[in-house]
Amino acid sequence: MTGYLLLLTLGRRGLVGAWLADHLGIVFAFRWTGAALACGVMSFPLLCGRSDCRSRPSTGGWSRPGTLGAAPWQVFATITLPLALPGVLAGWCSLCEAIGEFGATITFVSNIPGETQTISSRSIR
Amino acid sequence: MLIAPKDSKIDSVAIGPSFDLAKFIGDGKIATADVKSVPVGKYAKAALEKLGAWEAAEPKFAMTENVRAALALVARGEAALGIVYSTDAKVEPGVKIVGTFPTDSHPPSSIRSRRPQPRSGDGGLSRVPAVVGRQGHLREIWLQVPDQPDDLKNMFELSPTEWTAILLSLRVAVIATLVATPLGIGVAWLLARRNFWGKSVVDALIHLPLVLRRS
Repeated sequence: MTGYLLLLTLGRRGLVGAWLADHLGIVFAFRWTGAALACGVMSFPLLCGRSDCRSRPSTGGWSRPGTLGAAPWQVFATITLPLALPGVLAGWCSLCEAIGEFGATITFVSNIPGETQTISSRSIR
Repeated sequence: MLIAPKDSKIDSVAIGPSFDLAKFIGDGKIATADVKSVPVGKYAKAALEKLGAWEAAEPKFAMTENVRAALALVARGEAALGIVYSTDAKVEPGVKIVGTFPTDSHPPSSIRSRRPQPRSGDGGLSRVPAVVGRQGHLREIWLQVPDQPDDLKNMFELSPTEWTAILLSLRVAVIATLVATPLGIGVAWLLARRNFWGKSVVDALIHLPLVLRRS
């Protein structure tokens, strides 16, 4: 389903895909970049969710340095990011999800030996 | 049936013994279901083999999980041609039929599967019958067992295409994760720290792939 939605939006005839192809010359279909895109989209909730829930509990007092004169980006770089780092690292477990991704990849870029054939699409034989 | 996108310049193709599909398609791709595991793909391969066009056309094939996915690729204009059943081609408004395979070019489609004959010496595998039953229903299945223990060792030797597939998987996964990390941190920060109009919509969109797993 997600692969089909990707095809609808980022395919050569899709809203975003047509613009990308015309203006930037980027085509995803039948390329490994399309496979990477599909994997990224599929594993994004895992990555994002982990980072999200790690940074959420620290909302309270830790955001106060702003009142002491630190710029927002300084707060983010020195406090929020280090606190959320375990969550970000945990989110990298989504790498495994990306390796095993099958459905979205085969629908979006199909299965061409040597070009878009990943180990999961080879294993269906 | 050979199909093309509705607005394709290709109108009709005569499929006969001298038909060179590879030359005809040029840089485009032909979408069909997997030629080793899905029936429509198997028929496509068998028909092209009979016409002598398979070998040259093989690298142009984009194989999908099922016939509907192949149909979608053609309807969205990603693939220049597709090979599907005529019944599928008729229900998808985005495609048109441009050619029909001669009936003698492919084995008749049949839902009855043939029982494999016991034989040996077939790639070192011999088939042995096994009978499994549940609730009084007996079903015969055939197991493949290696003739010699050496064949088990061969299982772990990978062919070049398998290595390509593994390396591609790793490359795709690493790139996808690296690109998604800064994006993920950004979106996670937005969702955790900011309140904005449509926040729950963004949240739902991001988690959509979790529930729409297959295909």
